[in-house]
Amino acid sequence: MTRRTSLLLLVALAGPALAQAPAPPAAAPAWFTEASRSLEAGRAEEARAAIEGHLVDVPDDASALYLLGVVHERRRDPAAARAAYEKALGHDPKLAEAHDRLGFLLGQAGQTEQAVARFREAARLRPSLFDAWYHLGATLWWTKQPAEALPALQAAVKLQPRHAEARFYLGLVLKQQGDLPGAVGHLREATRLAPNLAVAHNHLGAALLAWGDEDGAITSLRRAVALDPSSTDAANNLGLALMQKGEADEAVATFRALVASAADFGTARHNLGSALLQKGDLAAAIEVYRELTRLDPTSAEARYNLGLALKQKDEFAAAETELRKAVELDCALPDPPYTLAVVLWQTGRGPEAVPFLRDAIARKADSADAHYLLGTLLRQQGQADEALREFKETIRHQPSAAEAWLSLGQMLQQRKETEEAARAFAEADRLNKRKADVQASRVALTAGLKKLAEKDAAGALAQLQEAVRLDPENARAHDQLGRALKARGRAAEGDRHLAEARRLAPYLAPPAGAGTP
Amino acid sequence: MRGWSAVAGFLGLAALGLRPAASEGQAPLAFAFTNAAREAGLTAVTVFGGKETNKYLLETTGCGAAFLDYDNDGRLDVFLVNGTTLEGPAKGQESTNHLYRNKGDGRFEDVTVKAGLAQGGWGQGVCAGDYDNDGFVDLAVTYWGQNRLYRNRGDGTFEDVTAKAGLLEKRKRWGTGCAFLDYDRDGRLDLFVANYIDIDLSTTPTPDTGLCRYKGIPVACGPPGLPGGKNVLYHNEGNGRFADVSERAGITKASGTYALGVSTLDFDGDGWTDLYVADDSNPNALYLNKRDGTFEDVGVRAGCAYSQDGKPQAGMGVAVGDYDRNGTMDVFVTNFAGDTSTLHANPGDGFCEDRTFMAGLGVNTRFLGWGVGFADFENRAWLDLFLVNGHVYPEVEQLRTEAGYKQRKVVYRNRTDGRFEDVTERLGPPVTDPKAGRGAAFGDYDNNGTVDVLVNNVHDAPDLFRNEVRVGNHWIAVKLEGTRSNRSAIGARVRCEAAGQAQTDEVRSGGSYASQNDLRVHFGLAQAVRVDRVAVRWPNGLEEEWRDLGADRIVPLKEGTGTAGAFDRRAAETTKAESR
Repeated sequence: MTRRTSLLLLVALAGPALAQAPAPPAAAPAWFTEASRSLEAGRAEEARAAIEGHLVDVPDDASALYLLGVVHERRRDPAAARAAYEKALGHDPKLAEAHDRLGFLLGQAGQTEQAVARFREAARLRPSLFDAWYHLGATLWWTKQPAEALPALQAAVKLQPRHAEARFYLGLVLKQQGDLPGAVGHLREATRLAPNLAVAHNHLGAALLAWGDEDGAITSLRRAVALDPSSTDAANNLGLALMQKGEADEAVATFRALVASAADFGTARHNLGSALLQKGDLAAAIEVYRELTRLDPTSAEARYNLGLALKQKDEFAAAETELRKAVELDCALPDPPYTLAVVLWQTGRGPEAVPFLRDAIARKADSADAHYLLGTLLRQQGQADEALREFKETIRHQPSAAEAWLSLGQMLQQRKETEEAARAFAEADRLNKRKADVQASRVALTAGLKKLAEKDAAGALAQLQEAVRLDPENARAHDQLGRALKARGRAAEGDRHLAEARRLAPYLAPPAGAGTP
Repeated sequence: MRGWSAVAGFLGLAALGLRPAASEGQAPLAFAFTNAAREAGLTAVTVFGGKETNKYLLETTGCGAAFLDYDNDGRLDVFLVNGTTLEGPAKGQESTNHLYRNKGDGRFEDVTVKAGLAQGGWGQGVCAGDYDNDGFVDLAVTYWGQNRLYRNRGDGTFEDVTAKAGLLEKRKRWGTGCAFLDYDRDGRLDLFVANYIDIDLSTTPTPDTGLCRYKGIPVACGPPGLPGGKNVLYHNEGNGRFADVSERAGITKASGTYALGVSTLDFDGDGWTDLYVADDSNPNALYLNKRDGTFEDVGVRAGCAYSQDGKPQAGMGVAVGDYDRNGTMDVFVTNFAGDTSTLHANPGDGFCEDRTFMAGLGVNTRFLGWGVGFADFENRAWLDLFLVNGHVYPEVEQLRTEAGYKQRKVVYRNRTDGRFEDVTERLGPPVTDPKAGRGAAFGDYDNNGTVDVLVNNVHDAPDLFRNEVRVGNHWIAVKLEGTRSNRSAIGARVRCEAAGQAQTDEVRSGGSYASQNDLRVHFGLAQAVRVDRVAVRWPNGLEEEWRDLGADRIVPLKEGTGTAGAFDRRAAETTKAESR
């Protein structure tokens, strides 16, 4: 079974269990009652006998044929089920449920396009048929058509707001489309509706991490791993979240456990190496990367990571060897030639670095780092015009690169273009000041929280106001300042800051009792 | 390259693109160090903050060291700054600075109390200079708290003249490196004090907040995010008092902040003393003396402030010297772990040229550098480099990192072709012994013609690396005495010509990390047995020369006793030819 179809099965199984028997007619005939009872009691053969008995008398009863299809699905006889559904539709092409179940079986058999067509038809015929929308949306998501999946899943969730899996898929689609607040909302609801749905916790964690809520992400991902310890994806995401938070020790432990339990999961090894590098354990990181190169000598990524770790250990000769191999193994990866150029430059061979930087740029034209280093080297070699072009290119790709503005300013100054130079220097200064202010804002925020803990309300307020002044985009500072102001009776002002906090970081929960500002 | 065989080592060098002369790369080093601290009696431990964890950055900076001849007996004495802890010392165990008198037999005597220098507190840096021109070198010691000025009475004791001199601070400040200099050429030494952070312990976040991490470990916060200190320039009024002229002199208008190491130098060779300041996480400052009582920080504009790829570095210590013998003062700055040190070469056109990588100095990023000096360890007439290392955070011991909290030194030998080679491993212990080093002073404490190194270590006794040179290279040291210029001759430029080679150096105050080097100027002469000419440009502008001096001695040179002569004869001849 392909991964796709197995997941469709998962969808089906996770959905309203299995296909449902249609609603009984107003006066249910005996065969129907008997078949339904047997089906619900798990006695598929008895149900089948009852239905087939009826079909002998009424061979064109579409509903009966549909029910027979359901029975065959329960009996795990998809071929027979499919035949029954097709026959039912032959007699009643408007039987939406049959289209839906037939679509499901087609999807299982890998006939995805036909499956989608059936789901669409089912939804067209009966817009209130939840299954049709749900199956359609999930299938479109799995076949990488999120834009088309979105309306289907939205319809499904509207029909059954308490359907955890529908929420889950809708959350996934929204996340893919960049609507993180929407995604988080639906994923959160999915986990609330189905607290043991590990995959929902996993994706919620990933969405929260992308949104900037590291703590929330780690909580969700820990839950995902606890619910499904075999989920390599969840464990990997947890490790990444921990790394992002700077919890290097726990990240390393997480990745080590993952590598031990899923030895073939190469990504985990790479991430373990990164976590070890983050921790500064160069020797261990190198060991991991060496193992990766042993397992796959043709992995450019492994060679590159090994080279990077060796470089950090000042083992430049060995680093250069690995980086050169990485460059040769994959002519698309931009990082190996760039880092090789850095090693050559750092060991006093700047001119040799230039072609590798050009290669890095050819592989990734918007690599600001490569443009900048190339500009630096060309400048050192006296190639001023080209250096200037590279600095300008750096700024075009990364306008916040203060060092590029500075270098540009220095070159313009040397060319006596004083006004342009002054503008470049001013921009460099502005960017550096902004960076310093952002850092100072974080410190002031922490100082404010400390003052709050010490019950020094006035001191806290001063620090929090300073934090906001230094960095008006510090969401947490706005949030804490808003709370502090409200606590001191300055409600309107407080609400303004709370609103700003939510605007900057929608994942920040408002204080209890706070209305919508 | 560590532990390689001789052949593999050579191949390794070749792979790196370094091309040593085959014989030079394999020849044993002509100099070696032994740690004479214990036998010399330098045993006081420097106390500085917590040993295993530090709550504030205050506990991390450590202390400076000084070589000075306080009693004018011709022998270098030792002054070591000391610190304290957040909890304060236990009763009876107060830690103070230490003054050790050089007895001349390889041993030192602790004369701290006798000399009146038993001061505790968060000591940071030290600089020396005869600010009252009485012939006895005085001391300035910086603190987190009140800096102190000690006037040398000339009788083996010092007087704390901080208040009398008008140096009392209205608020608590964090002084670090300092330097005496006569910036206005009035013959009196003024005082420059670098300032690091305006730290308020009541609001500074602590590691338990999780705000500040190093490789995942919570550590003390700063300096980014904390308010930076402003450097201070005090003008010597001549009546025992100083006036704060920082604003007027343009000192407060530096591009960066978080200042640590300081050195005087004459960057543009115009005879007026400039200042170089290493800033942490900020552009370094090159205060160019405008000759009108003011300075301008040209560090950024002149390309002397950042790394060669335009980024601020965590500058700690500063070494000044003419490593390439082009007659100008070059600057070397030590930086944080994960970064290289920086060599700002001075081509003499008013700009710096970062030659870190070209000079082979980009090969060490694992160490965190503090004290540093240019010194001719072999007396070959070429300046080598000696770096003192040690991590900032003791918490780093929790990590299996490459270098740890205590780190070895790094010694770069000048290859004379514009490049250096790392000879640390070849030197072996004690240079490779890991210590939490901070300040370092360079000078010939045993007057045997070789430059020795004094290191102030955190939570440890100091190191006194006695340099033993195994080849018969010659040397000369000059001890300058100003008469119209400041008595210590700080700011004097000295040119030494021997066997057709010329070297240039200066009398400098400050230097290294928060430390003070020997005020005598040492020149290695290689095989030259005589010095053809020593030229001096005195701080007040007078140029004199002395000819035909013998080698292997310390020569006192007094302002006004030489023969009038152009400092740089070649430049003078060129000017003369151009004017015809």
